[in-house]
Amino acid sequence: MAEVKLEKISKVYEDGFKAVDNVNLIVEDKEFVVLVGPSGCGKSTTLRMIAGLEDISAGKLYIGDTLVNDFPPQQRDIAMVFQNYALYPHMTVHQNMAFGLKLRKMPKDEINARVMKAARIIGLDDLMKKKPGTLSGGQRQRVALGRAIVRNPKVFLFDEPLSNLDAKLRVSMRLEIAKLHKDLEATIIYVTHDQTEAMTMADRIVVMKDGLIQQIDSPISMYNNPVNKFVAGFIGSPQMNFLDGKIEGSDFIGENNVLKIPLPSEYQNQLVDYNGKNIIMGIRPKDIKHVIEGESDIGSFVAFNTSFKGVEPMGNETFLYFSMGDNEWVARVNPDSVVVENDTVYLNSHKLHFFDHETEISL
Amino acid sequence: MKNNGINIALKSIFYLLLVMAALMFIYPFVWMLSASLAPEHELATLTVIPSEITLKNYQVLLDKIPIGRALFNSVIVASSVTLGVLVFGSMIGYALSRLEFKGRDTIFYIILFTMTLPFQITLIPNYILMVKFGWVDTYAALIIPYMINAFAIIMFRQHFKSIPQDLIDAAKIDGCGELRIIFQILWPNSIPALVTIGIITFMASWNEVLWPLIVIRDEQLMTMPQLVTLFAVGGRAESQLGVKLASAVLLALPILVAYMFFQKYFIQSMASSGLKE
Ligand SMILES: Nc1ncnc2c1ncn2[C@@H]1O[C@H](COP(=O)(O)OP(=O)(O)OP(=O)(O)O)[C@@H](O)[C@H]1O
Ligand SMILES: [Mg+2]
Repeated sequence: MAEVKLEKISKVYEDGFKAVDNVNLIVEDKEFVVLVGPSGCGKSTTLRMIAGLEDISAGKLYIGDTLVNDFPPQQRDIAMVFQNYALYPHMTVHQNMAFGLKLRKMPKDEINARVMKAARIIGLDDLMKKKPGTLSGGQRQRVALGRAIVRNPKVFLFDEPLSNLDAKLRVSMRLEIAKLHKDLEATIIYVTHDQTEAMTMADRIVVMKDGLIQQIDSPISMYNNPVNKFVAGFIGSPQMNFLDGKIEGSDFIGENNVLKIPLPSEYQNQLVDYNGKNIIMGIRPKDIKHVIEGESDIGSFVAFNTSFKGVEPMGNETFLYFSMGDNEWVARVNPDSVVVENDTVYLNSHKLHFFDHETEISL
Repeated sequence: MKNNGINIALKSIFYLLLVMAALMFIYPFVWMLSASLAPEHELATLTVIPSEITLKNYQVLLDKIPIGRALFNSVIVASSVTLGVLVFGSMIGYALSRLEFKGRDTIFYIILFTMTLPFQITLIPNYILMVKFGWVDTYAALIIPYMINAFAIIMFRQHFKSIPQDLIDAAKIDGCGELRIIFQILWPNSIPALVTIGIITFMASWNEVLWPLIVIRDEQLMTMPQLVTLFAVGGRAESQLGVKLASAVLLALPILVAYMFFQKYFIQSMASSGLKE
């Protein structure tokens, strides 16, 4: 196992497109780092550069203490799991797992021992003689995992390994990968655009956009302290609600006066420089209530009358959709609430986020 | 009811025509076979069933020309050519579809362009090359110029493009070099393409007459079609039709045998060779 260090890594494709822009990242030994971001932001490109499948246009890549820019994949001692499994169709499960070891000229006995051990870990014992074509998606991805494990590599790379699986299987595989990480004490770099995967598995999350790293942080502190509007909107589900507006004295006034929130003192100090200026306010769906009786600080809630455009009961919670100025907002409320069409919601004024109107940086 | 009757009549006529067409098509082959087994004096009648069956024509043939040797030569040449085309074709096809290098597409278009040149244009320059290399009257002249061909390269390129990049990436991470990727990962997953390209190449090589006529004069090195052609039209059969027909049967036999083994792929390959002609 080893740490992975990306120093000012960039990728410019043949056609001149800059897919990854000056990325700095240190993945600690035994750490589980998740790269997230919208489609096309350069996650796979970053991962493929680490794997050696894509040339690095600029910057330095270290695995352990070794500069590996010019190493082919097999010399980097990494293993990778792909979204489409990428198993060899003409080989049995056993052969698939043993192939990499065979190429490394490992003695037969040891190969068998390793393959059988990995098969036991991920529950493939019964399938060893089957060909991938006869396996289910979940089983195939398990084989791909097994193929990675047997190699005992310094670093595991995952590129959206669970995207092709159904929701239920995804949850169980998620737990399994998390457990593997613990048992193997593996260094893992994991790409996904599913932020639930990111939140639940990561030691640290890296949020990317347009080839640039936006923020690197642990899931919880990223959730609580996003550095900009993009991260705030990306992390958390349903996503954060936003509203353009102005600071006027000690109040936040939403555009077109749709909303007025008297700001608690902690924000007033923070935002003195923005008095009279445009600003973006954000609030998470969970911080909008439908019923506030019994809340400890009833006084900090701001009432807002609206008519709901949609009500989605999820069983353990209910999503309420409504308009706030030009924006669609969502509140995530107690499922027991009785909702009528024209109703009042309450915004927790201690749970606001503010972003600069131009730079969208968190204030 | 009336309509039905007309329908049946029309259908019958239609099928009759089809059967006649089929018979017209197959008759020469059947006649070739039966006549080659018939005594010489019965040939003029164009009958299909000879009064007695004799191998005399074949005996004469074997005495006159080294047909066994020619069969051996043909097998060697066609097999080597096929092997070369499969190996080099897949290597070049892989490079053109998966490796990134400057001028890749230009090279591809040049290769594509060579396909539009008729064989006759390169015949003379190729022959001069063979003379300069000192390859005239050697296997090398029959095999080496045919070991790479544009058609196979393009077929392989297209086929490899359809294989997911992830599979190749996984192989690289497992420690495969490019050659191992081609022959241990891509080949086992391209059997139909290999057989199809193999059959087309083998047939083309097997049936080639013009080129061998130009570069081979030694009877011991002649391929079957060359030898048979020289024999049949070159006067050495002494206008014994039966012997000529026997040589034609022997020429067709290996392809027929191959057809029985690879029937499924044969039809496939004929369908895809429509790309070429
Ligand atoms: N070979 C290539 N040539 C040119 N541009 C490319 C190439 N491969 C990828 N790109 C571009 O680089 C950008 C980043 O691609 P990448 O595959 O890294 O995205 P991603 O973050 O993994 O997205 P997704 O979530 O959809 O997998 C995309 O805009 C893509 O169009
Ligand atoms: Mg991707």
